[in-house]
Amino acid sequence: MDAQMKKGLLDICVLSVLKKEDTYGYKLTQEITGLLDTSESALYPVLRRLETQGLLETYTAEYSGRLRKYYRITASGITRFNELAIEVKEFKRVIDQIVGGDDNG
Amino acid sequence: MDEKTRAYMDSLKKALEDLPQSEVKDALEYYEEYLNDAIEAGKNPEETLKQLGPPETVSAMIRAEASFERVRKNPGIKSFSKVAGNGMKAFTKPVAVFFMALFIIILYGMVILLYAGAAVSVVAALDALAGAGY
Repeated sequence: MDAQMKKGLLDICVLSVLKKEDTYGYKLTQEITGLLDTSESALYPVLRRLETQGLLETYTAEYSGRLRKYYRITASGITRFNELAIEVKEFKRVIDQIVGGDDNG
Repeated sequence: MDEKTRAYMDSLKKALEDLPQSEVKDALEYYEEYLNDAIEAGKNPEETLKQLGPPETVSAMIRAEASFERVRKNPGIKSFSKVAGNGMKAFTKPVAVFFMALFIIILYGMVILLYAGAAVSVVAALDALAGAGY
């Protein structure tokens, strides 16, 4: 997949995973790389950006004697996810028309 | 953490060095936690490091995002040139190395030619002397 397209999809992937549950860096990376063929180190900068944009927040919790950082989606994160979901659906509709989806032949 | 993982974290720290302290700390904490979690999940540490990619790549990704963030927060020519600078680093380094190599080759070439020229003229001079009957 095109690198630019993948970058755009990373935001929506991260938000969608966090919409289901709070999680930590390693687990989140495993889930995302299972969805999108992306580098394992591509995620950290995305998380940091989404955090500075206020779309997600972090908290630390103790896990087997060390601290683990958890990511949680914020209210504006959910709003952003819904916006992105609409954009992606619209994008899919257009793409289907151009290259021919299942029901457009 | 094994020795290789520790060495990886050290190189990452070095690669991030010139970024703001808080950014470096955050990134190092993230990757340390990441590597610990990978080991606990039963992953081979070496394999995990390979999948993360070289510390320079990890650092470049952080840099790219951080500098764009700076522009978003503080638009202006100064932050723009910083982004351009960060982007250029990856490009200018190999180019600089190439020109350096070229320069050295030319320099050596010139020295060799000079010596060759000197040797040829000495031989020619000796020939001329021999021809003149000395």
